[in-house]
Parts: sequence; structure tokens; C-alpha cells
Amino acid sequence: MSVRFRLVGRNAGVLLGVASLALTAACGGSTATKKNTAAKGTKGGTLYYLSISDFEHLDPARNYVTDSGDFSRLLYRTLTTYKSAPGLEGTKVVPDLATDLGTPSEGNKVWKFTLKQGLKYEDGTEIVAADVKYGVERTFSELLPEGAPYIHQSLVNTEKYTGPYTDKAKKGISSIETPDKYTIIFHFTKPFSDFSYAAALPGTAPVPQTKDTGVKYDARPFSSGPYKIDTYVRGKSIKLIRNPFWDPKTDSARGAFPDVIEGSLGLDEASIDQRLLADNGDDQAAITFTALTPESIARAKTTPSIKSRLETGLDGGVYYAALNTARNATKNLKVRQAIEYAYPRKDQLTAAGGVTIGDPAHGVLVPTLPAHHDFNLYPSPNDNGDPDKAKALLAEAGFPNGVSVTYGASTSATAQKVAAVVKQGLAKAGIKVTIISIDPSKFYDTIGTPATQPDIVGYGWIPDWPSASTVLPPLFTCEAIKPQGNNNVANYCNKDFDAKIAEAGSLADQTKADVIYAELDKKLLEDAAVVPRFFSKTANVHGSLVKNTYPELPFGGQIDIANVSVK
Amino acid sequence: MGRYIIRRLLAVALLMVVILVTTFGIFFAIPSDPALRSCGRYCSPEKIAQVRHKLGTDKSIYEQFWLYSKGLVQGRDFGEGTEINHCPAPCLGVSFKTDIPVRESIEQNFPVTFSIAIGAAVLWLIAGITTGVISALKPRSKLDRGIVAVATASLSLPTQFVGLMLLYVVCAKGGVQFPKYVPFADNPLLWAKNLLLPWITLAFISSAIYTRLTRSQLVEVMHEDYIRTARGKGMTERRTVYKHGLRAALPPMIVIFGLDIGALLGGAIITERIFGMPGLGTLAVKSINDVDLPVILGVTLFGAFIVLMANLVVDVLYALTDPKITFS
Repeated sequence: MSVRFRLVGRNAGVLLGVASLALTAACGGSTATKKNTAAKGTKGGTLYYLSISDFEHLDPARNYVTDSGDFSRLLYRTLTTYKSAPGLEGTKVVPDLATDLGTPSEGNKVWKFTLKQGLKYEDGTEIVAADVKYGVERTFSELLPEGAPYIHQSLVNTEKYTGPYTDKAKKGISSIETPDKYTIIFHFTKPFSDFSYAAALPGTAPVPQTKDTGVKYDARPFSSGPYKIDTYVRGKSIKLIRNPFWDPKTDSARGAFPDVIEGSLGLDEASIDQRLLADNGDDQAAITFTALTPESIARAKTTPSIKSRLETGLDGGVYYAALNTARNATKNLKVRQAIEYAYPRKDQLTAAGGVTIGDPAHGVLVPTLPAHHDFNLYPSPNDNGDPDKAKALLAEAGFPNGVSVTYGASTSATAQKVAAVVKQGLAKAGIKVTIISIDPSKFYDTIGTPATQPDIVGYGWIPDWPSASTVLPPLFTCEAIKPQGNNNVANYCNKDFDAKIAEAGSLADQTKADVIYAELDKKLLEDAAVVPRFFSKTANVHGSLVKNTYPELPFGGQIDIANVSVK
Repeated sequence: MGRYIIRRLLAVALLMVVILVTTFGIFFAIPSDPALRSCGRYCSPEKIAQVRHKLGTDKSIYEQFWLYSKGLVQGRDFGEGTEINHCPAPCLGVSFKTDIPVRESIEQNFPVTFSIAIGAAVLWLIAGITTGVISALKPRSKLDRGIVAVATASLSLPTQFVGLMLLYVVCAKGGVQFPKYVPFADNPLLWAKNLLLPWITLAFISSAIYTRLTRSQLVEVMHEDYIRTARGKGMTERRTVYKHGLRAALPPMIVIFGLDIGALLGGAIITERIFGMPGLGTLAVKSINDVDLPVILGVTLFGAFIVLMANLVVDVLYALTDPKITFS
């Protein structure tokens, strides 16, 4: 959900996102030329973390945005996690609490994991399978609603279960078995072929029932990772110190080099930029997840001493304009195709911030997904619209004198600029755009309600793990259309499309599934359900003492905090 | 005077009720569903119903208002099943977003805002009144014109600009560590050291108002007959200015000062943010962005209470300093 805020404000955290492939090509090679390799460093020192806001939630049951997802790996371990490596490598999952990536059976409907032995919590007690089960059970509670739904939605026999607090029988759910201390078996309602990735979400972090403090757990999760919380004042500051019982030999994904991590939360964006660019005192050992403001990017790129501390790359997000396929003029396929041709892709990107904020997109699947492939069904001169072709299509559709459409834009300066550019571009083809301005705080409520949404609306998405299965199904299936909080803002409903999605979801072989997803990406454009705008990029600066910094694709391209060192 | 204060306190209570009702009304007039914020990116109708139930927004506005008011007087329980948290009276509710009791958040944020406001107020009073007096005693001199020019210029500078410039010059270029809030109780010296820049930022702009105010008040007073009498009696100039001039010029300034400090205690948003010292202002802005009704209500009520109390104190002080005013 937070990727949505970025459309309006480009400063909040982003949903746990993942990506792979072609990063180096896409970001001008800055990642490739860096000397960084995974997890090498010297122990000791204090790492400073600067942030514009507090973490959304550190409670594993509620943790579902990139900032808290990245940070929380310092505090707890999950069944699997992402490999500590730059670029493509970093999107692979590796075993974390578990000894391997899980063993599926019964057509991927049953998944079995074995926990490593001797793993310990911050008080020295052993991490057992029952605690992982309890952690998942917590995600059912109405008190902890924010987490990713993938796992608890897919478990069998849980329709009536409402979490451990209201579980009078105290039996928990039957669809997760823990036959012994180290074995955990999940039973799903349908094939869950990429469960190894879902298992890297915070939902599989172990929570001992005796340490569960309900809604207060958010402020003090019990540590199974390399650090534990020393102090945490919500909205202001957090201090982590070492968890002496964490054993680095059991953990290949976390370097955990600094002795102490001190976070300042609730800082001004401009002040963070200023501090990191200035690189004085403690700030030399500081990092941030907050992207540089566009004003500072120019300075960072042209000042050699800062450029060496700048990390840029795709953040895994895609931004597009959805065309309402269910109503008004945009219900007509030819009209939508005319919009595809007329859309001023180059100008809208310039208006949105130019090449520093993204690369032009012609499909929905991001280049960092294995299913991505390059295609452009609506080529135009300079990639900036072809009004003549659009006019011809409109005439074919029976609108020789043009059509009128509504366009929803937030009242933020950037969104208004983009809207104006699009209006101008479409006007050349005889498509009259009426801009409907919406207050940023109400933007997603408005466009997420099909009954009231305009014909064309902007949307953005970051996948939850590096598979098209976390992009196409939630955004473009009939099932995804909701009366409120709707993600299928194109209101695209195509039974054939849905059937293919189901087919791809049931395949154990990801490569085969990706072939189908790639076809579907193209299909969306054939049906002109969306006009892809750009694949978004991020830029981060860190202090000069911080080493082993690389953008971590599973977490929106921000620095991998679990593997930096300051000594 | 006692009866006057009691009467005023009753008026404060009444106003607080009006503010509570109004804020509640405004919030529900905005078509923004707070449940959508916690519902996540896959928000099914069942899920949103569940979240609404947790937040209590599935109940009618009247029932919600009743529960909130009851919590203020009796305290309230939050949670379900075995996981119940009691919020003792006066309970301002718990945050929709973080589940933290609102009163706890206010108690945690107020000291920061208070520290920023108090130091800044002292600074701007000293700077404003001193320059104002100097300016008024030598009207139309070069010094006076200089002071007025600087005051006018600084008045037109936005806080954001002054704060970021100070940070840039002192910290980014000057190499001084960027400030960070240290509680007074932990280390008074570090407290003051870290707060110096925010104080200067706020005082820079406010003192200009006080310079101009002191100047205009004093210039006027110094032309009064009784000043001429005092001088005629052979009183020293210094004594004339301080004993007779300033004494008469100050009461209106107490009013302005009281209101300024009251407003500032409700949150110095921009200063808090730039210097990374989140206080009440930051809490207020965040709660509005998050559509976090209990926090919005809590901060509004608290801010209103501070302003109303500042008003009361100002009125009492005014009466004490100006013999012409009586309590009635």
C-alpha cells in the first residue's frame, strides 16, 4: 500500500518489493562498477540510521513495507530470507531459520521445513517450530491486521480462526503441523509454488507465546536476529545492541558488523540530504532508506566526493495509467488503443522528474522480474505519441470528431504537471481530457472505488517477491476488482486471462510460469488496459565510513542494512 | 479574583467540549476511511470489516462519540479475548495506527515542544525588547533604521529557510554535529547546546515582531505627558524609560507573548522537523496524514487547552500589570 503514497509524495516506504535481471543495464552501470561484494566487513562501531519517519510496524505480523522489512531482519529471522548480494543475486532466497528452501509435496500444496538446531532467542532459549507456527497464527488476529496476507489466506481450514487471543480451545490451527521441535508442515488450499519466497516475508518470524504482548509487541519484538532493541521511542529514536545468543555461523545472510545501531526517526527530508551530503561527524557512519530529493540528486551526481557515496538503481516499482475498461468511452477497445498511441510517454516522464526518477516503460512487468521482456505494441516517434494513428483508430471506433474522457490526478504539484502534459498530448489526437483533481489524502480512496473512479487514473506497484505472480493476479484479475480499496483500477476482467493466471500459479517450474506471465503482460497491452509510464528508480547517499553498501532489490533498492560495516 | 478564575475555568471546560464536538464532526465529514490505511494492499470486504471493528469505526458516529467521551471520564478497554489493554481515565483513546495510548504520545512529545518553545521565547523576548528599546529611544537615527530594516527583513523569511540555512552554515559547512534532542534531565548542558539552533531559528523571526512592537509602544508612551513630567522633575533618563516608559508599554506585549507561546506549545511543526526533534507539531501532522482520529482529537484538545490556559494567564497578568483593569 505504501507504494501508493509514493505516487503522491515519493517519500514514504514502499511495500516489500523484489526484482532481478538487467539492473546494471537499467541504472547506467553504477552498481556494476562498484567494488562491493557480499558480506565482508570488520566488526565494531556504531551505525547511524536517519529516517523521515518511524517504522510502520516492527511486529512481524504487521510488518509489510520495505523500510521495516529491511530493518527488521536485524531483529528477527524468518524461514527463508534474501541472499546478501548486490543486483540479481540478491533476489534469490536462501535458508534462514530453515535448513533448506522447503520441500513441497502434493502438487505444491504441502510444504515442509526443518529448522536448524541450536538457534537461540535473545534470552538464550531455543527457537522451535511451534514458535513459527504461533507467529503465523498471530497474523489472523483482528488486532494485528497490517501484514502480508499470502500465507494465512492460503492455509486450509482456517475460515473460523480469528487468532490466538480469541482461541478459547487453545488448539491453534490444524493446517500447520509441528510434529517435533524442528519440523513445520504447512497445508495450503491451492498450489503455492513460490512459497519459498513467501516464507521470506516477516510473517514466518518466530514469536514465543510467552513473550507475546499483543499490540505492544510492535514496540518490542523479541529478538531472534543479530540485534535486540535497547530503547525504542516511537516516532523518535531506536537503539539496537547485539543479541549475544545470535550465532553468525548459522546465518549466511547477515553480516551484522556494527556493534550498535542508532536510528533517528522523524527527520526532515531536506535535513537528511544536507547531513549526508555534508558528511560530518557521526553522519559519516550514517545511512538512510529515504531516497535523495530530486534537487539533491543533481548535486550528488556532479560532486565527485558525493558521487562515490551514491547508490542508484531500479527500485522494482512500475507506474502506469490505468484505462477503465468497464465504463464510458474507455470501455471501447479502439478508444483505449487510440489513447495508447496518443500518450506522450516522454513528456510525462519529464514532467514527473525525468530520467532520475525512472526509465520509460512499455509493459507492466519490471525489468528486474524474470518474466520481463522488451516489447512496444504502440511505437511512436520519439516515444512521445502518434496523434495520427490515434485519430485513425478513433474514426474506426466511430468517433471521427474525438471523444471526452476524465483523468484523475492528485493535487500535488508533480501529479498536476503530469496531468497537464497528458491532457495536451491526448488533445492532439482529438481526445478531450477533463482533469479531476483529488486531494492527496483521498486519492487512493477515490480511485480505489470503481463506482466513482475517473476513466484514466495513475497507479503504481512493487512486487512482494521477484515473481510476476505478485503483480498480475492482484492487479488485473476479475477476482481483484473490489468495491473499495480496489487494486484492479483498470477494472480489467477477462476469463481467458484469469484461466492463464491460474495455470501459471499451479506450475512448479517458475521458468514455465514466467513464459505465461510474459504473454499476459503483452495481452494487457493488446487489450490496452494500461498505459505503462515508467519503471521507478531510487537514489541513496550514505556516509563515507559506511562500507559494503549496495542497493538491495528485494527491499526497493535501498541499502542492505544487515550487511554494512562502519569500521 | 478567585471567582473570576473559576468562572474562566468553567468557560475553558465548555470551550473544550465545543472543540471536541467540532473536531469529531469535521473528521467524519471528510470522506476518508481510516480502516483502508490498515487494511493493506489486498483489502477484501471481510478484511476491511475486521479492521473497522478493531478501530470501532463500524459503530455510528454518535456511539463512537459516546465511547470516546465515556473514556475521558471513566477510562476504556481496548483489544479482544485474552489481549485486553486498559486505558485509564482521562483516556484520550489509542492511536488507530500504532495502538499507543494517545496520552502517552502527548506526554512523550510535549517536553520536546516545550523545550523548543521556552528557550526560543526567552531569546526572542531579550532580543526583541532590547532592540526595540534602543530603536525607540533614538527614533529615526541610523541605528533605529538599521534595526527596523533587519526586523522587517527577518519577518519576511520563512522558518524553513532560516532553519535550513543555519544548519547549512553551522553544521554542514561549519562541521558542527547536527543537533539531536537530549532530555533536560539527562544532561542540561547538552540539552541547551542541541537546542540552540532551533531556538535561534524561532527567535529570529519572532523577535522581529517584538522589536517592532516594543518600538511602536515605547515611542508612543515616551510622548505621554507623564514622561515629560518625570523628566521635568529631573528623573534620570534611564529611570524614566524603565520605570515609566516600559512599565506602560509592556502590558499589551504580555498579551501577544501569551498567545504566541500558547500557540507554539501546541507544536512548532517546521522547526521540530528540520532539526529532527519530533514534538507535538510533528505528531499532529502525522496523525492527519494517517487519518488517525484519536491522535488528531488528542493533540487538538491538548493544543486548545494550552492556548486557552495561556489566554487565562495573560488576562490575569494583564489585570495585575495594568491597574486600570479590574477582575469582573
